[in-house]
Amino acid sequence: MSVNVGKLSAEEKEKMYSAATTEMEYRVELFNKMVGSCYEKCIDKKFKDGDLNVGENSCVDRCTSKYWQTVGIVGQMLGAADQAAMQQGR
Amino acid sequence: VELPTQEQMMMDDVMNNNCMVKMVLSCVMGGVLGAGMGIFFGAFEPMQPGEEKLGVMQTLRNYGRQSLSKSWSYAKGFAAFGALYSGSECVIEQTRAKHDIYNSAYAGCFTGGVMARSGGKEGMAMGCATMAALSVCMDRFMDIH
Repeated sequence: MSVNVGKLSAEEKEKMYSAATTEMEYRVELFNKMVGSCYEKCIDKKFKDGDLNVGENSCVDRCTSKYWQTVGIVGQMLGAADQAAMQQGR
Repeated sequence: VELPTQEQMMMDDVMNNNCMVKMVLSCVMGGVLGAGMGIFFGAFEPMQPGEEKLGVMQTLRNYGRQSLSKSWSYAKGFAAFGALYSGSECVIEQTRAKHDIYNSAYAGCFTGGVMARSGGKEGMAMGCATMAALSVCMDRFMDIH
């Protein structure tokens, strides 16, 4: 995305900024959801200690890895569905 | 309270989440503990009967030799025990990805079974059960879980 911003018209700049803002919002949402669900699933709420222990550490590792893979697969499927819809629409 | 830096996270990863490091540390500490116990208990052994009047230096040297051999054998036993228990508990906890009392029980069973392997099947079963019960009690007592 290395476009020289000065050369675009005001309209295109507006579109680019709004697209970037939306993307940023989506990413922040994804991060928050990932952290929230892995926290709920993996961390024992008794809080006997302030540090993550070995079991919780590996649980969080696995949780984030699976979440990320799920995001990739679902994104692919959505992209394919979108493309198919666009093809049909033509 | 602040977020841990990258350095702190890597250090934490090496010291606390690395099973090899934990095993080596427990082995060393077990060895030191065993040596200390050997020197302590060496004083209670009855001395070999020698000439009647041994000087102070001679008695001390006899005591030193005897307790050294004893502390070496204790140190080996405790080092093996510590390494086995800590290594197996770390691996089991990483595999299960949970933190509860069963990790100690399984690690104790494994350690007891290996340490008692010269006793045949019944010896290993007894060792497993005993060590598992002991480690569960110790963890409850130390209020880790």
